[in-house]
Amino acid sequence: MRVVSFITLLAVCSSLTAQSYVKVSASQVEELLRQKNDTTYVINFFASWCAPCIQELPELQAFSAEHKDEKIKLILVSLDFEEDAEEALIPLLHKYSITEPVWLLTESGNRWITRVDKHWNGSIPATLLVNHQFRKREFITQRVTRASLNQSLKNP
Amino acid sequence: MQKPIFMLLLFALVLVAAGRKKDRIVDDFQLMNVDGRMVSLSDYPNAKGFVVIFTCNHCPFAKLYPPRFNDFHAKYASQGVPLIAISSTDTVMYEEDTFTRMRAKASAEHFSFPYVWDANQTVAKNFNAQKTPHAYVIWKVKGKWVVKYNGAFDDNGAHPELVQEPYVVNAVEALMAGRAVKVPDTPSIGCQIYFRDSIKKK
Repeated sequence: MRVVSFITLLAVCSSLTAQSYVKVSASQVEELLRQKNDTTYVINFFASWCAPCIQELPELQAFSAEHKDEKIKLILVSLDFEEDAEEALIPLLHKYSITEPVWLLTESGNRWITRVDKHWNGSIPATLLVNHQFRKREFITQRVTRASLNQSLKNP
Repeated sequence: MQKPIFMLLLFALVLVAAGRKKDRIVDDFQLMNVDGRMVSLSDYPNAKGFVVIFTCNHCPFAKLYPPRFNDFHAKYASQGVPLIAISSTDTVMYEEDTFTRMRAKASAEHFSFPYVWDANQTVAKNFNAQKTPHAYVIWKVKGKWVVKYNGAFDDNGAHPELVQEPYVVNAVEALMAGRAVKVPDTPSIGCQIYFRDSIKKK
């Protein structure tokens, strides 16, 4: 059931036209981290109020475009407040013509942070690379570039 | 026969070494408050400790907290634990965080606590403050200011009514009762403080 709902969620994301988002809970992000398939998920945590996050968006998009025919999937997880989404997040998605899935985390509080990575202090941007099949997991709390992400892909 | 005992001893030594984490000391400072006066920790001779919050005007997370800071200060300043809010963000990058705008915000939102400007970002560096809001509880130990807690003010920024763990209050209550702080650091989402030097280097 869970897998079905998850696949539906992904399908909904990709069928949506550009410049929109879906609301998710922290459990749904965790579910993504537990996917037992051979896809590499690149999960980027950002917010419209985070200047370095916005600066790396084009790099993430370039990385995503470069690997669009591979089993590599970029998901942008926004930490904007729900009530600010229409005013702050949507214009940003328009400005950068974001076509990748955008999830708006509706979790309040700080308990979910260490569930994503136990060493995370909550600073963003933060990017998580996971591939279940290759037992790969890299959590990056620095700014990423297309090149740095490609390097991360190559890391064991 | 001797090997297991040796291993056990080694293990015990490692445990002791790990447990003896060095106390982090922070320095006193002198920064200008929104009322035009300079503020230092030494201005409060009766303070047992302080809650020092690195915050700012512009950050959506920081904007949620001033009423809670007022409540804290109203209750604990008279018990020897005042709250001081420090703005250390880069005012070149964030125009909303200039001293003039700090004064306007403090006045509009009736800040009862000092809101001081760390223009050179030296105090934030000394504390190793990472983001806004970033709360510290410091306590006077043998004349020095020891960091006893750092992290989120409480466990829910957006919804004060859903707070389950008021981390700062818990830490202060424990210290006032002479107990150890159970949760000495916590993660939190916030706006990163950009240090101008580190930006220049890149």
